Parts: sequence; C-alpha cells; structure tokens
Amino acid sequence: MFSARSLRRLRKSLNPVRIAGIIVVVAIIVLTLLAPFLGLPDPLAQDISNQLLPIGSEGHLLGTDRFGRDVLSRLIFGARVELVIAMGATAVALVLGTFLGLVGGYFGGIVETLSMRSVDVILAFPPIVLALLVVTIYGTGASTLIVVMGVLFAPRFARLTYGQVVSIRGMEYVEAARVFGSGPLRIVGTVVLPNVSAPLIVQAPLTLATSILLESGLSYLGLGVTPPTPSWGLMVADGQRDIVAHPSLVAVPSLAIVVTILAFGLVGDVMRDWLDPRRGMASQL
Amino acid sequence: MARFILKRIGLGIVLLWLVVTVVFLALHAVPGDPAAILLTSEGSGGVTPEALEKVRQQLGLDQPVLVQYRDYLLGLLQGDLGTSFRNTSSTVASYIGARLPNTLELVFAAALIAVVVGVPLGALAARRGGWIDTVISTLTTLGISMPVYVIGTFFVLIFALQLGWFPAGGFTEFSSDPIEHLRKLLLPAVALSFGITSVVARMTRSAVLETVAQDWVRTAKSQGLPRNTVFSRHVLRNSLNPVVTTLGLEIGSLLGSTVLVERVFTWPGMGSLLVDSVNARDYPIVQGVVIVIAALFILINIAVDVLYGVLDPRARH
Repeated sequence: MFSARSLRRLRKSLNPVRIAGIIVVVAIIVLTLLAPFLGLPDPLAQDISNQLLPIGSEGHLLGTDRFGRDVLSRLIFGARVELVIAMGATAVALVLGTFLGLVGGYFGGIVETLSMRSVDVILAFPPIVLALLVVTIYGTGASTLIVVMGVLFAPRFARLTYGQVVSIRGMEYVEAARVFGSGPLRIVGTVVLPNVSAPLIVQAPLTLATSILLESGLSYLGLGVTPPTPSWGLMVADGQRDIVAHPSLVAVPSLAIVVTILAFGLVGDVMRDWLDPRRGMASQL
Repeated sequence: MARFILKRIGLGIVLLWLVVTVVFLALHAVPGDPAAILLTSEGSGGVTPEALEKVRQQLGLDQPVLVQYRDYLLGLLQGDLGTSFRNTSSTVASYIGARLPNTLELVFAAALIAVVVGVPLGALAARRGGWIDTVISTLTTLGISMPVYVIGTFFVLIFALQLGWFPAGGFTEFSSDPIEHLRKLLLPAVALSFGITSVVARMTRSAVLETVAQDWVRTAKSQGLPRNTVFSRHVLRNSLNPVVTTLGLEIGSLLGSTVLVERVFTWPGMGSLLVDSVNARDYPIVQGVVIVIAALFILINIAVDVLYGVLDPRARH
C-alpha cells in the first residue's frame, strides 16, 4: 500500500479541491473526537432567556435555536452522532456485503442463489422506504439506524465482491492454493479476499456519504435519531419554523450536510485513483 | 425478443413475491400486539382482554400467521390490500388510489425536467469543454450532494416566503383550478429533479465524449457534413442509450425521494401517506404503500431492461 509506486500514484491523484476535501474530513473527525473537551455549552441545555440569538452572539458563535440551545455545540455534537451512525452502518454493510459476495461468488450453486437473491430483494426497495418500514417495527434510535442502513447498503459491497470473485476464482493462483490442499475458508480468506479488497475500500467513503444523506433525511422526518439528540436533519426540520426571521438555523446544518457529503465524495475519488487505478481510468474514458 | 421480455417479467414476479413475503413477515414479527397498539391509540375505554380479542378477530390477527399470509396473498391478487387500522371502514387500496396519481405526477414532472434540462446541459459541457464544462461539472456535483429536503426548504424560503412567486406548498385538484395546480406542482417538481438532472447531465457528457471519439464520427465529419448536423444526427443520437438507462434507474430512486419532498411541500402523495402511517403505526397502510412502491420500482427496472434490449440487441443475453 505504501510502496514508492503507490505513493507516486497517491500524489498524482491529488489536486487542490481533493486536498480541501481531505482536510474537511480530517477536521470533522478531529472535531467530533474532541467535542467534549472544547468547552462548548451543553447541546441539550435549554435557555429561555437566550432564544434565537443571531450568528456572532457572545458565547454563541453560531447563535441559538428557539429553545436557546447553542447551534455550534449542536452542530458539532450532531456531527458526532452522524459520523458514529454512518461509520457503523458502513462497517455493517462492508462486512455483511463482502461476506455475501465472497461465499456467493466462490461456492456458487445454492449458496450463490441464496446470497445474491437476498441482495436483489434489498435492491427492490428505495432505501428510505425500507428504512421507514423497519422504523415502524422497531422504533427510532441510533442502533436501529446502524443495522438497517448496514443491510440497505450491503448490496453495493456484495455485488462488487461477487463480480470480482467470479472473475478470479478460476485463476491459476486460486487453483494452486486448492491443489496445495487449502480448505475453502482458507482460500476465500487468504487468497481471494486480499485480491478483491481494493474496490471495497474505495466504496467505503462513498457509502459513508450516502449513509449521512439517508440518516439526515430520516431525522428530518423525525424518524431517525430520537430527539433531543442533536442531528443535522433534525436541526433543519426544527429550524424551518423560524426560517423567515432566522434562515441561518436551516442554512448552518444544511451547509454542514452538503460540505460533509462532498468531502467524503472527494476522499472516495482520491482513494479510487490511488488504490484502484484501473477502475479510475475506466470511468474517465 | 418476446422470450427475453417474458423471462424478465417472470423474474420480476418472483422478486415481487419475495418482497411481499419479506414485508409481510417483517410486520408480523412486530414486538408488541398491533391490536393493543390500536386500542391504546384510540383511547376507547382501555385495553380489556375482551376488547383485544374482538379487535384481533376483526383484523384477522387471531388466525395463525401462515393463514394470514395466505389470505393476504389471495387478497393481493384481487387488489385487496386490507383495511386501515385507524379507520377500519376504509380500505388500504382506497388510500393508495387517492395518493398514487399525485406521486406519479411529481415523479414524471421531475423526470421531464431532467431530460429537458439535463441532456442539453451535458451535451453543452461535452461540446464546449473549458470553463463551461467546469461550471456545469461543479453544478452537477452540488446537485448530487444536496439533500432534496434542503433544496426544497430553500425553495420555500426564497420563491414562496420571500419573493411570493409560488405557494409554499399544498395541493389543488387539476380539475378545479389547472393553473393553481401547476403553480403548486412546480417547486416540488424542480426540487425533486435536482439530483436526477445532475446525473443525466453527467451521463450525457461522458456518453457524448465517448461517441465523439468513434471512427464513424470522423468519417461523417470528413464527408463535409456541417458540425451541427454531425452532432445532432450522429453523436447525440448514439449517446442516448446509456442516458435512457440511467434515467430509468434514477426514476426508481425518485420514488424514494418523494417521501421527503412531499413532506416539505405538504404534497398529498404516497410518501406523505407513508410517513403519516409510520407515525400512527398503521401497519396495513405501511405494508400496502411499501409493497406498491417496491412493485413500481421493479416494474420500472423491467421496463428499462426491456427498453435497453430493444435499443441494443446484444444486451438481451
């Protein structure tokens, strides 16, 4: 991963916009990790005497909402919630999807039918609709969201892995491992997986961005994280009531969502050109 | 060709059956008793065992799950999606029948905008290149990254609340006032179309760039045909295959986005029906709406596959 050639490719894949994207992603991660130590006001503390303060107010850099809660603090703690859910969902999707794709692609037959048809069923719903169905049953909350979005986004990884595995399972080096007496689990884990992992890693930041998009949408509907937990989608929905007099209450969380999604998309582009150069070139044709 | 279409439809039916089964089983594995939830939400005289038993009987919940499943499937075949929990005198089908046309109208308006705006935009970016390409690429990147409810919210703020050009939301029957109907359709349709227009523009751009590099385009040029003729007759027409496919697939995802757009603009469609029913835990309506949306989704995918098979015979295999 860090050979001289790979580093050269990394350098070539960078441009000012992409570097800005990486900086934003790093900044978001650092901010969310440091959130409790920044001396920010409690994001849940209501303060009736300081409602709807404008941007730049003393002690409230981004103002306060209609309950007198500090917007900056809610934004940063909201990022925390957002990232934890998105990373959790991406991890679930990555593990589940890769597993389905690996076993489906390597073993074929009934295993293939079961794993890839279940992927088809998931893909037969628009994601937000399936998420709403699950929320109806299990209620709202972060852990529900992580599991449901993990399942929803598993097909991306499953199909990527499946396609790759099918194309390499007849290769000589896989055959060689079989001849030397390796069991199927060992072959899948130590020979097949390392050779199909690059596009999966590249897919991860994009899935993270999509998770943030979907989670914020569900929270906007009031069906994502449970209030008063700060979440960007909820902040947009709450801010709508005061949008005419205080458009910043909607603009600030909206901007946070758009910038975060863009930044993760740019990081995905960098990783694609760096780790999976063949695919990068193909898409630029 | 007929065999290809039949096979595709057959697979679609199997997939739909799987979808129905998954949705049915999911809702019947619900922790908690729907009858109890219904009684509590109605607040009518408390939850007595007798009342519970009566509601269970009314809703068929006292039957074994397999019997309920069989009855539900048989009902589906006759267009019967059950009755609402909240309002036991109304069928789910009547709720959906009232909302479906509104959602389809929104989706097709957005798709129309995507074609009318997205294709020329993509073609322009590919032909001119330079700063025009950069501007269009930036715009489409933004269009893809902006959540649809954020776009909608700012549309309401700018075009409805501040400029007062359009109503902030709501719905008027076309038959009672066509102009007002279209005025209320425009903002949600444009907001919904941002994402798909961007995708169509990008797809058109890359398809045109790929086609321009083909030998037969050079041949057409060398025959002395005017540049615009070469472009419209040879390049653009041959670039539209992937665009049509993308458009079809994206129309499916629009169905999901309507959930959010309808909420922003209080548009009475399937999406707002779904959200209301989720909040009210009205399982039969949730079940019905999810199945109908999935069925539409599957139908659109089949149509795209078939269309692609017609446009490009190689894809049939």
